[in-house]
Amino acid sequence: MERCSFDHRVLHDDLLLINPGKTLDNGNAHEMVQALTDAQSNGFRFVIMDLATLEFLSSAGVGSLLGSVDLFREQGGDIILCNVPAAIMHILTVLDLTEFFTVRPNEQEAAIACGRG
Amino acid sequence: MPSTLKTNAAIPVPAELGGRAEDQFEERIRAALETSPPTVLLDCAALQLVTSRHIELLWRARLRCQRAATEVRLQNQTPGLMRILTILDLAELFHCMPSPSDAFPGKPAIDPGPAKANYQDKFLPIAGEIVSASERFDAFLAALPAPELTRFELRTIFYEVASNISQHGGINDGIPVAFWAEVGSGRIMMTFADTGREYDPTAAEVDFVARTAAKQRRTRGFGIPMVRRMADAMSYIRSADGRNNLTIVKTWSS
Repeated sequence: MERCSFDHRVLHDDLLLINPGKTLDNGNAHEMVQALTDAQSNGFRFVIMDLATLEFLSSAGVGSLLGSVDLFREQGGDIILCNVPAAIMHILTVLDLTEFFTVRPNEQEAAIACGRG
Repeated sequence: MPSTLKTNAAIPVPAELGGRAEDQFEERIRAALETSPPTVLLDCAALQLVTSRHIELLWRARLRCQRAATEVRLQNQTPGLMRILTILDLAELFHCMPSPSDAFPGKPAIDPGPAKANYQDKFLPIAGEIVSASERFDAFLAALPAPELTRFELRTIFYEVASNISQHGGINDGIPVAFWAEVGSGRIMMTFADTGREYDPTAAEVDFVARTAAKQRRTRGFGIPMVRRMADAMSYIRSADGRNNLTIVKTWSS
C-alpha cells in the first residue's frame, strides 16, 4: 500500500484500516478509488473506513466508496464505515445509503463485523 | 425531499389593459403561487408603451408574491419599462433577468444579482476556485440562523452545483459563474448563473438507487440527485442571452 495517500494501517492479514482525513471530494475521490483497488490487489478482503475526522463528503467521495464496495463483497469481504460523524451520516441518509453500507459505531465493532476482534 | 420541482413559465404582462386582461393576469399569478414556486417570472416583452396602470399592475403582483414569500422577476423588460421604473425609483425592487438586448460576448457577463441579495460572489468554474468560493460561502453560512445540518446541506448544495457546472458546462470563455443568495425568515434562495451549455437539472430524470449504482460500479453522477433531495424547491431558466439560471430554495424551522 505504498501508493496510498491516505493514513492507513494493517490490522490483520486481510484487514486494512483507512482514514480519509477531513475531506473526501472531487479533489481526492480518484485517489480513494485507487487506494481501494490497490487494497484488493494486495489481498485485503476487508477495509475499515474510519471517518472520525471527515468533515465534508461530496458526491464524488460517495461514489469512490460506492463504486468499490461490490468488488469487496464479491470476494466475501466488505468496506465497513465506522466513527461516522452526524453530518456525514446525514449525507448517507439523504442518499438512502445507511442500509446499503455496513456501518459500525467504532473501530472495534467494525473489526468484529469483519470476523476479527 | 422537494415536493415539486418546476421550471417556471413566464406570465406575460398584458399591453392592453381593461376588460378582463388585468383579471386574467392576476388569476395566472394566483394560480402560479398555489404551486409555491421559488420565483414567478413576468414577461414584459409586450410593454412598449408603459402607463401608470402597468406599473400598478406590476406593483400589485410584487406585493402578492412578497406575501407568498416568492420572488418576482421581470423578463424581457423593454427599455421604456426600465426607464419608467428607474425614474420612479422602483428599478431595484424588481429583479430583472438579463436582458436579451445586452451584447453578451465580450461584455463582462457577471450578473451581480438583485440589489437586495445578502450574499454575492463570482468564481471561475475550476476546482481551486470552487473550493475557495465554497469556503467563502461557508463563512457566510456560519452566521445564518439555521440548524447546523441545514448549513451543512447548503454548503454541500453549493459545492455540488458549482462542481456540476465545472464538469459538465463546457465553459472555457473565462466568464465566472455568478452566485447570489437571499435570506428570509427560515428560508434561503440561492441562484447560480453560468454561461455553460444548456442543462435543466429540474427536468432531468436523474435519481439514485444505491443497489443499482453499486452493481454498475458507478463512481460519478450522484451530485444532482443529492442536490434535488436536499433542496426544498428548484427552478431553472435559460435566459435569452444564453445563460443557465438555477435557483434553489432551502427552508428550515426558525
